[in-house]
Amino acid sequence: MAQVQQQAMELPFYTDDGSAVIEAPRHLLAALRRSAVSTDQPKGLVLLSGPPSVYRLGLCAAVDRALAGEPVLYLAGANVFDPFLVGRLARASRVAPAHVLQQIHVSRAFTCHQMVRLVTDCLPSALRTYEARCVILAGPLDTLYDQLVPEPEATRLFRAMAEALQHMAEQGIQLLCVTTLAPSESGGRSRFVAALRAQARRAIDLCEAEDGLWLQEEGGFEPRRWMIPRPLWNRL
Amino acid sequence: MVVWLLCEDGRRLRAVDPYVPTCYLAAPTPILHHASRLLRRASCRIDTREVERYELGGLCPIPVLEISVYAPSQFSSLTQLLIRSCPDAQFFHVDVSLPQRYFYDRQLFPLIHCEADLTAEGQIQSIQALESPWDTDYGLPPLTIMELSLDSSSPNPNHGGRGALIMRINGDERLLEGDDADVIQRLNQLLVREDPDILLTDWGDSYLLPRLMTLADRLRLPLVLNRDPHRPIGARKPHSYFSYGRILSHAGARTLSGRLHLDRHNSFALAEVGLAGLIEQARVTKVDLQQMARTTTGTGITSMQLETACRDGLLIPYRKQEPESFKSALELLQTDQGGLVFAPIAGYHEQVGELDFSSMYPSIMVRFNISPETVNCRCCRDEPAARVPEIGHHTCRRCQGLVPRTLAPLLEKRVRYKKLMAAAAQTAARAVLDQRQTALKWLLVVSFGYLGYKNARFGRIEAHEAVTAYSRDILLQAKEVAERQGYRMLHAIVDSLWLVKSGAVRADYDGLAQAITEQTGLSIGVEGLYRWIGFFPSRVNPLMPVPNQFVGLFDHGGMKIRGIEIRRSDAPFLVKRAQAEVLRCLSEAGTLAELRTQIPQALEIVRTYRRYLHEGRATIEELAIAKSLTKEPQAYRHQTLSMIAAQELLARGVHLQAGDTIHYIMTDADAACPSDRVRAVAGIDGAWSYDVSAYDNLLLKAALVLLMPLDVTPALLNASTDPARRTTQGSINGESASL
Amino acid sequence: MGRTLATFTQLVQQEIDLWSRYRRALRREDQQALDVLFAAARHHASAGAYLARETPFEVMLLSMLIEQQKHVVMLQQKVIILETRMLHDSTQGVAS
Ligand SMILES: [Zn+2]
Repeated sequence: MAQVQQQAMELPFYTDDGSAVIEAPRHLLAALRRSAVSTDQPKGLVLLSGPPSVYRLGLCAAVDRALAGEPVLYLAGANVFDPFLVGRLARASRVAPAHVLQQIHVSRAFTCHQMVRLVTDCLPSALRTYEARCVILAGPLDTLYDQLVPEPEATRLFRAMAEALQHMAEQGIQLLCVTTLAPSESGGRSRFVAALRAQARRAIDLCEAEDGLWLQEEGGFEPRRWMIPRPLWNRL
Repeated sequence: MVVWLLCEDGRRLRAVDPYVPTCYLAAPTPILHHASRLLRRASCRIDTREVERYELGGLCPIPVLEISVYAPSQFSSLTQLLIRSCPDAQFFHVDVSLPQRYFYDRQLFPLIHCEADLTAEGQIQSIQALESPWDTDYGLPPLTIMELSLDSSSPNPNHGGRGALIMRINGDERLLEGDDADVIQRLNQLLVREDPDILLTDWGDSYLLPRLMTLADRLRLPLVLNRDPHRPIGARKPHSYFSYGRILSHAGARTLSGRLHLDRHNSFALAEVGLAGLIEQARVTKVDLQQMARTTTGTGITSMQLETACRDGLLIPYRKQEPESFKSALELLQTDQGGLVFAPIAGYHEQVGELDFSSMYPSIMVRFNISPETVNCRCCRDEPAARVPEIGHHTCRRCQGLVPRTLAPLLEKRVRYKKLMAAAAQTAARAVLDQRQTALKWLLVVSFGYLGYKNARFGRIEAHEAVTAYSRDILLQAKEVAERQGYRMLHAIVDSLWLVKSGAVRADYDGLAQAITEQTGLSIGVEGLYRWIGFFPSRVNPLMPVPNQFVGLFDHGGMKIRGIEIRRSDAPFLVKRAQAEVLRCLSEAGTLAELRTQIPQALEIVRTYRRYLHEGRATIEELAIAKSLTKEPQAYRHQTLSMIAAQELLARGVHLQAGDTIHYIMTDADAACPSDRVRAVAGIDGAWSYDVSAYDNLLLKAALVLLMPLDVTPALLNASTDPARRTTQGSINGESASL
Repeated sequence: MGRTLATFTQLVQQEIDLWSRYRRALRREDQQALDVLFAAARHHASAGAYLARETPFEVMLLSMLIEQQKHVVMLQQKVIILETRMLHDSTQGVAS
């Protein structure tokens, strides 16, 4: 079982012109690191947005850091977390799954008030408690789309959260913000994603295509693209 | 606060209680100053003072500003203003409905028997309860009930097919006919003459009252629905909104002052527990009757917790903000589980006993002291007895939590009702007691959900996890005790077990229940002994047995039926009736061997129904399929049958929203043109026909689920119930088929 | 607040989906055998859920083995009964 997955991980990654193989990473996690979705190098806020598969990718990034021996804080705002994916990735890397699972610390928020409280108050102290430098925010905006919360209040809460994230980014904390696009009913709240994007040091968009998942980053010297082939992704 | 009193001499009095609601605010001094400045501009008297109060689970009190508002009618707008102007302050006690606050503070409840001192102007000097919400032998005030409905067979007048207005009072029934002005004037006369306390309607919220109000408005006639002439009729439009990826919808509401309007078609409580149950819920929860009828049961249990908090002087936070504590992904894997469900051993079994833990989740909360502030308390971290099984949490051994304090009397009251029920001699009295105990059961059922509900005032995910962890351990203990005594477990769902042991009789099962109760400390009882019970597999995959899908014949002759067509709202009446008749036929068998001998007779019933269908004799009522819209009708992407029917209604100008139930008939389910496939029931007038083979299919499926475990294959069923084949004459008897 | 993690029954379904190409290339009779195995995994979903392992497939394999083992024992018992009956019949035959 582990053998099969290990092989799957060794598929090469292609650039968008289809010809050149970018440095043939050993497996997906390495690819993620290369695409700076998960990175131990530059600090700050990285935004990864796209269809719901971004959550799986975000979790891969968390596993990657945990495999490297780092404690990771995972803030679940969209009620998604898949420990079985963690288990498979750990096995593929020949590490005891329980060991990796213990390195990832999860807290779930079910309302925007909880989410904002989590980011502004609980996160700074948790970073100290677990001596962590790496945070995955999975769906930080989802709870803010709740129409039971009036838009002005949601906007105020969003600002408080964005401010806290900015502060932590400046402190050298690695923040990977994983979010889907705003639902069509969200009205003025659809601006939140754009605001996070403006604030992020890097913004990566995920697109799903027949052949695989394309990661695309605007800005910098030139736009960059990476691909995760479909056969590999489907086996994750 | 306006209070309506029904005096001993029969007068209905409008009294005013000079009630002063309070709220609290915690903030740094500059914000407090800002708030005080705002309050000075208010048009009513407002007192403020600095006090200290505890939060739930707080170790030391926090300083807060207490704000007393001398005009209850301005309380809501004032607090809203404060919340908008001081977004960084913490507010307490601001969003609890004022009637509820009034009931808590004065220790009263809806329809209470009380004693009041009034001034000549009708101001309340003092008001005192003469009974407790925990009394079980209370009487009701002599309320006058007027019923209003439409003379129509339409499943929903909003979807078409309206009739004349019918009024019923004291067993007297009148049809209000004539032109619109006549109807309004006749109704006004009746309302003035009879002066009802309760207006009980069918479709009053969404159709009847709005329609009457529009008519009266257009004709410039008064409409004296309200007893209190100073107040307008409370109106809420039907609406739906987007919340956490789901569309939630609310039917509209029309609420009255000085009189209660209850709509039988817009009340979960009325439908489930009747008027006696609704009143029971209002008494213990202190939620106003008109609200209790229309709200979720969760509002009731929340209100009870709020009262406990108020009584204990605790602050009620405006927004719950505490997220889950961080736990490792490995811990999450262990804790994020529900109750245990053991897949049943499919097929029919003999001599089975069912044991149920009574109110398992709330009992666990009370017995193991599970509450938001008691889970993972600081004081009992190292006590082995405080440990929750299997997961890392513990609960407090020193202080009883808010949730157990709230639930304990409720559990206890339900037990008393059940005892009274067992002892009740008259059927009518027993029925009322049953409605009341069921009303309490619903409150207890939702109490668990509210421990983990995202917007619950006193919810916390760790408390929710602790309850399910205990439930898993307790169910396994029960299984172990039963297996030690030689029983085999056929099926188990969270708090119920189906067990079998050859030769075991009632006394053996009672003994087993006793042993389990002693072992677990939670009360379990014998729900019943089945002569036989059949557990049915999934329709999609016959290899997979499905929990909670069974039919059992109790030793006293009654049947327990779960998950099959009879219990499903979307099955056509004809299919339900056919299934009921097959079941009645099977119920004549006392053993598995006898069950098999009933097969020919069961097949004959199926054939009779099929023939009835094929001869084109089925009626609209027998064929109508009811489906609830899970999305806004405009949002459906696939052409499902219910969506086609919804489109038809929309095209006729009917307003539909998610949550509405629509009724339709399959006319030609495979037709190329979607609009030919179904017809909405409300739109049928004149000629219509139905899709014989589509209904035939439903009929066969409903029979097959029962007969397949007796080795009747689909092919065998189809061949042996062929409606074309001539046999002895069978007939459908509607009366004998009703269960 | 709703469960966050997939239930064991959902995990079995995911596993079935993962093996769908494998299943497609099996003969009809072998497909039926495979379906029975996965049904066995789902039949013991309560035990799988209670264990809460991060690698659920091995739990499913063990559930399949349990059903196999029960089947073996059942067949053994049938054989014993048949053997006893045959022995009985043959000795009776001699006696008469
Ligand atoms: Zn304690």
